[in-house]
Amino acid sequence: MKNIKEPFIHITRREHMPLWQGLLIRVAAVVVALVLSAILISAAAPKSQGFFGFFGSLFSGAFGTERRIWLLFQNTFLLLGVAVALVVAFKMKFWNLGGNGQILMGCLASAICMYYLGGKLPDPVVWLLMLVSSLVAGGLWAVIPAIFKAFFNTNESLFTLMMNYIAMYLVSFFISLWYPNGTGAMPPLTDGALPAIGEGAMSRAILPVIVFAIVTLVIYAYLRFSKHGYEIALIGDSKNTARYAGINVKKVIIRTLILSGALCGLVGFVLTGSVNRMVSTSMDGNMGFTGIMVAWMGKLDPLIMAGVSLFINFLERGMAQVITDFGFTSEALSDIVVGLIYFFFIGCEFFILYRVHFAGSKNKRTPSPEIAEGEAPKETPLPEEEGAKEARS
Amino acid sequence: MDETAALELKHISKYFGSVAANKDIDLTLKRGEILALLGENGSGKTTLMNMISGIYYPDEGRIFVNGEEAVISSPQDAFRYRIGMVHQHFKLIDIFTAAQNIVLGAGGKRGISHINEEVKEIAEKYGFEIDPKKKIYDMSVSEKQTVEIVKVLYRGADILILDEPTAVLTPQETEKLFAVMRAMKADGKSIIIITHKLNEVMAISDRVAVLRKGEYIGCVDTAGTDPAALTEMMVGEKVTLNIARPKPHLERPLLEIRDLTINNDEGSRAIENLSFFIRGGEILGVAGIAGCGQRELCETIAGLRKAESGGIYHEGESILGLSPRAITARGVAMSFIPEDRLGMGLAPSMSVTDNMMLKNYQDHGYGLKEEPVSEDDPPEVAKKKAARNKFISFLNRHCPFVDRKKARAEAEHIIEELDIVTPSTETPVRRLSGGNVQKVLLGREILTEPNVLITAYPVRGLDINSSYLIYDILNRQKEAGTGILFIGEDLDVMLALCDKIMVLCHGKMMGVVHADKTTKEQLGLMMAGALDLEEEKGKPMGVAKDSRIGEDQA
Repeated sequence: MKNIKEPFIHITRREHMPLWQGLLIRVAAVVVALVLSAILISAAAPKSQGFFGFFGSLFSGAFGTERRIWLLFQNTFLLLGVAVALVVAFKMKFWNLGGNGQILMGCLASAICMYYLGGKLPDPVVWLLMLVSSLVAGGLWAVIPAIFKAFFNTNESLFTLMMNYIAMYLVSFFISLWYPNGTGAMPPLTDGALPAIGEGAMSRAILPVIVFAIVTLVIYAYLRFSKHGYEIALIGDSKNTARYAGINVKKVIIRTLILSGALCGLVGFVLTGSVNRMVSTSMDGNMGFTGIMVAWMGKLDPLIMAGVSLFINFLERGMAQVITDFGFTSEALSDIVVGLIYFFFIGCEFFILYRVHFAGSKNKRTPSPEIAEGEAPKETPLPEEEGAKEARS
Repeated sequence: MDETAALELKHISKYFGSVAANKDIDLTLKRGEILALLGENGSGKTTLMNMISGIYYPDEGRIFVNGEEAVISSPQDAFRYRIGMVHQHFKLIDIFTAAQNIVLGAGGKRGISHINEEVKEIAEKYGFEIDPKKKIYDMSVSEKQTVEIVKVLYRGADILILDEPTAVLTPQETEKLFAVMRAMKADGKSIIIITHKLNEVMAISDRVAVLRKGEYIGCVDTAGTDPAALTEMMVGEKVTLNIARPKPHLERPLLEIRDLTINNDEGSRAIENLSFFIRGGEILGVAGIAGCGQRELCETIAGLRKAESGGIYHEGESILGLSPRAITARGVAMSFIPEDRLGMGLAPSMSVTDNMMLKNYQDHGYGLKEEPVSEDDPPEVAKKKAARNKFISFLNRHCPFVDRKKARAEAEHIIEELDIVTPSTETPVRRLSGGNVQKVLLGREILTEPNVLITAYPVRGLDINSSYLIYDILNRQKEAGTGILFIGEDLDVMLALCDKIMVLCHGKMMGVVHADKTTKEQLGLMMAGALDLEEEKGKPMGVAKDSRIGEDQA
């Protein structure tokens, strides 16, 4: 211990970073990730279209034709709808991992209405029944874990997760009940499907785009300006304090999860009623989990989440095109690339949250107004600690 | 004893952004001494200690351990230099036993029974009471603290830093801790203790170092100084250490408690057959060792906990069983500062504004004004106006939105009134220093213009200046006619501030005494249960002669 060595890297927490700087870092991260992916793909592809060809395919996959653009927006808003539904619960630190199941229940409820009532009742009545039953089914799937959480303090993550499987097997039960040919697939239903608006891909995409744009704005306002939103944030921050403020915590947990589940059910309604017109066990498209990523990458803010959802769907659709164009037969490499981009995009948050100093560059350190109180930093938990705390609570 | 200092800091500075938390600090800790580090909130004590224990790295300056320059860039480095810190917020794993927590991170491959023995040895050597096999979640705060200290000793620390260790302890537990500290000192350990309490500084330390606003003011021998001089060094100006006690003007009882029995969370008795009353314009102190029913009593009065039997009457009417909101609406306000200061009453991640509307957000409306009906309006117009007003008040009552503008105005009001230091009304309260957090809490309770104010540990962990500000606030409320229930821990303060003091022991009332006619010794005996005035005088003490409760009600 004789030789005095200064630590090589020295990490401090940043408190304020100008918005443009944070945006710049994120954009830079995505650009670097895309360039790396382009090199990787164009080097490894059986039918390489070259470095620039990668970008060509990527963008044409997402924006190439009118149909692709509509599909991109349809998927973006469906995913956004799920993410927004989850955020309602996440703000309360209720980890709803049951998005998939809640969507499937919404799909199933709509499909049941279409199968048994389609053509027998006037269409508008069927539509209304589909909507109501989807909301109820989705809400039910979320409220069961919520009741157990509120009254017996069960772990909501496990509970909601397990509910996914029940929903999945319920769907597969009904499919084999209706079409007992053993394939587990069902043809699109025509009776009771929601009306097409416009032509082609637009006819199915326009409904999710409009519905979930409105839902997102409403939930944004709900969380930010309403008394309910305030109660949700309060319970998320400190249950004891919420109790002290005279809030019935059990009631709010149940009410909030009904909303969260019903919104997932609404996604199911749109999926079955307009987009697919049938139901399958994989109709959720795993959005219940991708939605979690959208929610966190969007910092639980519905408006930022809209951008994140667009970005994720752009990647998904773009990479699908790259795979085809570059002659891959498996999706493994595309998964690697998508993973690489996520890695950079999420990893760059570190540089937004922390400042890294290298040894010998002390004089370069420019102080910025980080913390007003000298003793404040000890109160500011690091993200790891926050995560641990969340896991415990 | 060899004269090299155990620890020497030279020209240490640390900046957080443009704010200097520590500026050019020199500090020397001799071997085998107890050094008290004194300073107001935000004066940089914890930051300085965090640099010694490897949590922060100093921007400027050098640290010497036993005369050799040391680089402490991580807590592991600090351990290598035999420096150990006991933090204010415990860093223990709840589901592990004491011994498991102690050995955590220390390395080695010994079996747990062996470690249990070693822990016992350390405990015996210094006079700790610790059961190595006890789980953390079963422990009281003082036991947890013992585990933290033993953890540091187990890893062989020679220099111990204790960050506000007494803030969470009762007087008796503090005495025990001090005995242990003296035993450690006799063993040659050097100790730095951070504290706000001047009487403790005088009792335990050899020397006192004072920081003010991140700067080093000086270091004096404890024997050659007194609390007044230390306060002056700390605050930078002379402060009178007298607590004012304006004469109460007696009114009829505002809040009356009759034969109240409450269970705690585990289902055992927390409060048994308690009767007392508070008049408007008086401060009734509640003394008692920690955990003898204070929390349960507060929660029950505020409507957060069920009572087993008995009654609570506000202005002669029973409020038992009303919702917390209804009780608040009647003018009963409660502020409880728990041990962690943030757990109850405030939402730490929310802004000052959002915390301000915690109790009244339900009443936020659209801000639509009702039109007053004047005498000379013709009947049709008056009728129309009345109908309109009814509609407006309906709208306001059912408004789904919160009114942040109103809350912000309230936040600005109390920030100004109580001199709260915060960058803005939108700063999360967890970023404020302890004193300011407590002012936010108390300020909000006062904002509702209560007629009964229940305040538990309002100065917990606060420095002198902030404490006196809080006493001032309470006295102003008292003079305005509010009845105040003051649950405290510092008997000296209670004797000076309260008009009457009620003593609890294991949930039973030991008696109510006039603060100016009692002594600390008498209170101590009552707190320990050795003296029961109620039994001695043979009459119930907590029932007012001019009670507002009717015979049929009680």
